[in-house]
Amino acid sequence: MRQIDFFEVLENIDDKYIEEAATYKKVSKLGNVRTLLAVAASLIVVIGVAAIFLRLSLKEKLVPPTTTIAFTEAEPETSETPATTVPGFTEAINYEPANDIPGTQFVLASVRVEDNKAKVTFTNISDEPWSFGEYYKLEVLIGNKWYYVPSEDYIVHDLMHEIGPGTDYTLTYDLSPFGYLAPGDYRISCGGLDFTTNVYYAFFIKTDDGVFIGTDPTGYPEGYTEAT
Amino acid sequence: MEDENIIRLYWDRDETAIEETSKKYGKYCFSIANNILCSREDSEECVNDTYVKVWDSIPPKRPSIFSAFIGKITRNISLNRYKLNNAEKRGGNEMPLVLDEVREIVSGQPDPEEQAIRDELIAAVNDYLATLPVEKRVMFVRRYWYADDVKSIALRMGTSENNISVSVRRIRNNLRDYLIERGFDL
Repeated sequence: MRQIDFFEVLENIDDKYIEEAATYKKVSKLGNVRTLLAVAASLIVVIGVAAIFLRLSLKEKLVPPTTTIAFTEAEPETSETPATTVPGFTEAINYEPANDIPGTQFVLASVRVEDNKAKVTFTNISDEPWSFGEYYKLEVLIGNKWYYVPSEDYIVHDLMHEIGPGTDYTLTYDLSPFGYLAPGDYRISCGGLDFTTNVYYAFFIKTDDGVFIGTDPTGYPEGYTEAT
Repeated sequence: MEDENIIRLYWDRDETAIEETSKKYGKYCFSIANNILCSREDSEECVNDTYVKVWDSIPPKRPSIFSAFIGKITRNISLNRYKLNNAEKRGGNEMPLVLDEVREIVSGQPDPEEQAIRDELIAAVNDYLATLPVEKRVMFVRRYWYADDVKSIALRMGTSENNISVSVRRIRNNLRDYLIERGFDL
């Protein structure tokens, strides 16, 4: 069939598609933001509940009874302590609250932390290609809020990757710019095409005895088993 | 004016129907013609021919989606003009005249077998389009029905030209596989 014949045949595609293409308007960014805010609000509640559940489960199953997954006790808070100081630390550090943008639900990641490097394998579980960048930040859970972990300057490759449906890709994130990590719950805010975006969160934990527990491909902490 | 009222004017044989059609769909028809012909003069002629054909078609027809109906007529007329222009370039001055004369003898309609294959093909294309997400489908239709250039599709969709090119190429390849799987000899 000649190209022009096929072009001619296309003349008879369904009227509704012709009208759809004539009237199509992309949803405005403002609309997206509103939707994202609504989703974010719901997600914050879910993450909060999940974090509490996770912490309680890990205390029972993975951590020796004499230890706790918590930061070293701080000196009692005094009236001189600045309002932004986060209680529960040996040093009063002003942590910047992380933004509350929810991560994509179209990706699963397994996380393994070794030698101050987090190896994150992303698996695209959607039907569409997923594009992502290499920018990342480290966040720590304090109370029920996520905060950015301060860091030295570090270099990120300004690259975009794309993985097809059902395929995966592994990136390694250097954690050394963040210095010593106290025991606690962490997540790498990653996948962004610049530093302002949080596209996906890769979770891991550091226990009191300095062991890093990553996330297995199902999204649960490594070694986690369902309570019977 | 609402499409329903414009169609009523045609049924009443009221000549303001053409004026109202031109007001509402003149630019739309011109852009379809101009995407195919890249000629202001030819495109304007095609748009005028469109109005005549719509006048001759309504009644008896009563299109449910008037914009698609009038767009199809413009596209068909423009494509015929495109073929004629190309034939002129290939075959000298006589060929288009000869073709015009032959057109008075034969219907110009494809034979029944060919028509059946075309009907099956378009049904398969419609089935494939139904499987696409709206955004992808709009990209495809803007490119291959409206013959829009990649830049204007990117502007319309709020994305990059590269993204449109990649997406459209994927859709095209998938459509080809889809049709070959269904036994079409492309």
